Amino acid sequence: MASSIPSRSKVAQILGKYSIASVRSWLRRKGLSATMNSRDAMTTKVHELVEKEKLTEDDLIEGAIGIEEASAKRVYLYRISTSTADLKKIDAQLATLKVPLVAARTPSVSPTPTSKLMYAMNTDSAFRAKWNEQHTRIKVDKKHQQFVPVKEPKIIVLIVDKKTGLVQIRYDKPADKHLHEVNGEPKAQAYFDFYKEQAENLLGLSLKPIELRTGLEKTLKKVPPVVSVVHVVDEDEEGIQSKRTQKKIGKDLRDTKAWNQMMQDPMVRTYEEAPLRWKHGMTGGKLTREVFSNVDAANGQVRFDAHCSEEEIDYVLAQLV
Amino acid sequence: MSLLNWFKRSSPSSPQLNALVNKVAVYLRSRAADDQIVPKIVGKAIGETEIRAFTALRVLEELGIVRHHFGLYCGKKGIPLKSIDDLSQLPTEIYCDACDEDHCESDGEYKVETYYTIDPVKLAQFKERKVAA
Repeated sequence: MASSIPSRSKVAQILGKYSIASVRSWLRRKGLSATMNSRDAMTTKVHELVEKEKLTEDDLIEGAIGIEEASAKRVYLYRISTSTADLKKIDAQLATLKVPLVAARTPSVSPTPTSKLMYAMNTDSAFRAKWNEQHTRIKVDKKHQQFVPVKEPKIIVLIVDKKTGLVQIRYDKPADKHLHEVNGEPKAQAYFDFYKEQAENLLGLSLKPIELRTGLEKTLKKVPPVVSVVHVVDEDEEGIQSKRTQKKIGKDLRDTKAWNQMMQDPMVRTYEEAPLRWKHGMTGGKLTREVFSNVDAANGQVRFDAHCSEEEIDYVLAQLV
Repeated sequence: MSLLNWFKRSSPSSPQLNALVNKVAVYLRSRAADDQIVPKIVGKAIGETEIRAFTALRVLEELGIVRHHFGLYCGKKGIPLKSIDDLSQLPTEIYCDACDEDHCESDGEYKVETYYTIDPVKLAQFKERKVAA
């Protein structure tokens, strides 16, 4: 456990790689002032809070872990069997693979282009593991007409709820260059598939993808509404795929005649994609702010923004499955 | 020369313009007070072109009946991103959470469209403009 007050450079080292939005959200959740417009201002602000003893180094490390495991993640959802025999397979597999288990989460350190397991935690109720790897984003420098490579750490988290059988794999957005290639080209899908395979290997169980279309439809049709919606992609049995967007600012797509007509249409229809804003007033206090998630049911992915916390992700996913 | 000026100059009494403004005012009265009015829809509703509807809306704006705004929309999905009242406030880049990308104005990744909001009190006070000499 850290005891001394961390220096400004130590604060920068712990939090410097995260987005300003994610650090600001973390501070707000802790009820602390969060005015900051640059990475430098962010470090200064957090260091001031440390000096005033409103934050400790342990708080910073815990905050960093929370941000890297929940902020701006793409989440794929799966199920496993919750039978005692199947859950025992997880323990056996971990023992066979000689995976070192820890009692507490740790931050990501020293990412390299090759995937590295950061930790694995196994309890009676949950299994959790985290990997990191390094990607390269190609930034365009228009002024000098150059492509500038920028190294970015990527965090991947596996969370298994042994009570419900729900499995989440959370990914950072893949960058332009990484080692997950198909025919010599980096592919996002190869990156996603790699960690699904890693998860199945660690657990010794196969992961069954969860169909999100039903959950998305249920959420869109809930009365009173639990989300605000401005864009929905749907597909009907005649093969018509429609993209409906409410262009009027601040208005909901569903408060329209067109939507009501669609609701009365007996045509079989699937709901493929929608960006959703979850109304915190409808959650009985479980959300303390409006939470954004983009549900891409066709690809089985739910995407969260940089402001999201662990609890917010868990709440939204529970509504969709 | 703008179409508005052309209308004004085309006839000192502007009967054509007055008729057009009256038609648009009738249409606006059929809309809810909090509605956002888009010129191309107004044009279609009254059987005129978008540019003529625009012209009438500008006349009504001079009378304080409507007010213009600029909506910024995602170029891929049409999702509204932001509303501004002055083009000098146009951002060079704007984040679209549905696409998870920054959309750049210079690359045409977001679109700007004009819409109007109604002042219901002023609209109620509007008196039909004279169309015949």
